[in-house]
Amino acid sequence: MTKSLEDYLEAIYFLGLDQKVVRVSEISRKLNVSSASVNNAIKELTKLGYISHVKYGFIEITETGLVAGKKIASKHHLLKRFFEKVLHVSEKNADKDACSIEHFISEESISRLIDFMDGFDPHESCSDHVLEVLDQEHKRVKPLDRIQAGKQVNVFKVACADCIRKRMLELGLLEKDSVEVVKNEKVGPLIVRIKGCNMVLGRGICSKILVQEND
Amino acid sequence: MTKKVVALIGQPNSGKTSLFNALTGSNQFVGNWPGVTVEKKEGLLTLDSFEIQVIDLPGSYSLTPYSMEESITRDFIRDNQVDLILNIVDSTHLERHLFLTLQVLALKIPIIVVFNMADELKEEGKQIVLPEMQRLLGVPVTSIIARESKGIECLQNEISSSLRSPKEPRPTFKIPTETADLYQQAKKIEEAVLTMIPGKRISRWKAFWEHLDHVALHPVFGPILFLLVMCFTFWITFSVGGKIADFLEIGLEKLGILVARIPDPMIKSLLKNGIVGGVGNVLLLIPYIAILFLFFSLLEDSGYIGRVAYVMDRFMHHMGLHGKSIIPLILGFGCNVPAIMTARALETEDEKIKTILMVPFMSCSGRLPIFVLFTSAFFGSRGIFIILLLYLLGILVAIITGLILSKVFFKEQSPELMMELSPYRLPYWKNIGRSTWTKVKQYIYKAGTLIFLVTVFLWFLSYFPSSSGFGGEKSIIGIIGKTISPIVAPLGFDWKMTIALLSGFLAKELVLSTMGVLYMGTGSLASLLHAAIPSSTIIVFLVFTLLYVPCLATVSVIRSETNSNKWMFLSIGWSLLVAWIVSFVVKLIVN
Repeated sequence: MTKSLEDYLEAIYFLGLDQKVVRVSEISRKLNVSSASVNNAIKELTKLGYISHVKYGFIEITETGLVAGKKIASKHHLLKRFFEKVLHVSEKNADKDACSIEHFISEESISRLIDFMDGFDPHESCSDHVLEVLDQEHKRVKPLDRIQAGKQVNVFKVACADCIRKRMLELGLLEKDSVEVVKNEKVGPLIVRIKGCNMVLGRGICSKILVQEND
Repeated sequence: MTKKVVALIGQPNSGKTSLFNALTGSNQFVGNWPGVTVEKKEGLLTLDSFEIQVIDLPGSYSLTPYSMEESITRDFIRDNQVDLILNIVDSTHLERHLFLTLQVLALKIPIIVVFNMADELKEEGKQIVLPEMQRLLGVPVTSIIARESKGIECLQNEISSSLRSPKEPRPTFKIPTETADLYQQAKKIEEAVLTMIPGKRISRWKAFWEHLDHVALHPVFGPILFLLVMCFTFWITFSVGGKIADFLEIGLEKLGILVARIPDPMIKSLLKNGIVGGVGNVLLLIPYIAILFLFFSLLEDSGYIGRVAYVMDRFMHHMGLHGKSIIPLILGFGCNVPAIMTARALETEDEKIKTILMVPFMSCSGRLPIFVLFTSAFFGSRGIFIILLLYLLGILVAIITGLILSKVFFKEQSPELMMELSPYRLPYWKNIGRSTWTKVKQYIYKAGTLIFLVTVFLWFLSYFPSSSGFGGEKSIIGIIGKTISPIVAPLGFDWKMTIALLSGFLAKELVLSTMGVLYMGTGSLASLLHAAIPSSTIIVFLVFTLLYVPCLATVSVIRSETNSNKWMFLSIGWSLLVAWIVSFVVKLIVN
């Protein structure tokens, strides 16, 4: 994988952390590149099996993609922490340098660095720990159709096709709002309580509405 | 008199049509499910010196349309000079309904915001502080209970004062444009105006409805409940309807005897064979129609029909339709014409056309009298099972039609269901009585006009030339019948039955009245038919009547709703083909 592809995968991984599905436009905004180059990168990454399901401008990251992305991201995090905490480099430069080095640094150096950082600051253990926490948050974002009846959830993202998305917002399914799943029978439509009204919503629509379970 | 235009705008199931009826005194149909009004309706209201044209627009969640019915609302507001908007709001769902109100306020057209269902809000132990609402929105507001026509006078005063001195809305806030911001604003307003009524307990009904929903929405019991409800509807229709019809029949026989005393042979024949035999037999079956429609009004008014759409969704998906399509299909049991128009509320063109082509096989109330009369004449008390089988056959053919259509014409997956589940409401008897009476009146009207005229015309064709003997093979009608009957001869129909089917195209009830004219003799129509036709043939005949070309009104509404001759002719051709083949198969089985 080239340096630039790794950058793309990392960006998709980070965007995916808080919304599961990622839009092409979001990637191009994050990396500040044209959507055409994003599309080229996506083609490459799909061939490598890191991402899947490219439809209507949405991308989903595969399990292998998740592992690879996590690996790059954890290298990044580790390097950045080293520059910031040990060498007292400014946050901006620490981030920039981490971004350059993460692609070329050898496995050996990385494992030495992990040992060093664990020894340097045993309370805040290895970067993987931080990522684990992020990952758990990632797992708490679920599509609405996988929520059991009777549960209250917060809407995270309405990732439906544009016209349905617009309609869902107009019906009061706003991001961050709380909704209740009234009926969910594994197959067939769901009944969701939105702003005091019971709405019958097809399972397909619900699978594209991402929600976060309340504790 | 100054002419003014007032438009009613509100979200689906907010009670626009109830208010429209209360204001204009018209009898538009009201139901408790979203999408009852699919077309704009107009009525007149005279207030002080104003002649007001009141427009009831289809319910719309937002001013940016999603389905065809919703675009009617937007287009009307955009293209017409509207003097005043009545924005009707469901008080129990303020936040969401105020979302539309805010959009409408931004149009800068004079508006009165009407808070409906104040009684239901009270049941929840809450109330709206109207003066505060008025101050915030900067428009006149009023509260009503549209179903019971309460608060209408107050609203009328507001309307006339708004028309006298029209004012642009002056809200105390800047109206946002983004959806999320609109909702935020709506939420703020809701919080500012809703107060709890101290010491009010939440009603017991609410708990009961919730229990009912456990069954009605259950994946297994839900469809079973639906089936039971349908069976009960038809059972009551036949048992109670039959009892009342028996009384009417005695009256009709007396009338026949009375008519027989008339000396002039031609007038006697016209009255006896034409009017009593034809129109009389159609009117005889009014009790069935009335009860059937009464139950359908109940289904719609209570909000149950929306639940059916939910529980049947899975089943309907096999035909590439979603649950909402079942509403037009069920309504088809009443009358195919409004049922087909209801299909407009479906989101995609494919689904709409599929549903429209399926509806004609749902046995409508026009076919019911034919079934009732024939089966009771031929099979007595067992007749009801034959009728049940006929209904099931109709449903089966509709399903097969749906399957074929989705395999041949519409291969795309059906879109996803997206529908509001309206809360149950106790049926309001005035509402139900009114809608049932409207349907019965239409039926009587049809019997008095179209059926009467066609019957007289048929009598004329049967009577002349007068030497031929009434309804004989040498009468005009006999000659016509003989010419075309070879088409259906393999099914065992004689020329009289052929003529009956032919006139049945104008209105299905005419099958009955035509038979009444052509088979007339002494005694009741039932006994005469029994003597003239073998019972195996009558079953085939009923099957054919069930399935062949729907009536003229249905065909023309298919044309106008699909906006294509292709689908209309396809529907006609397909139903004739199916009717012929199925009848032939039934004939083989029966023999």
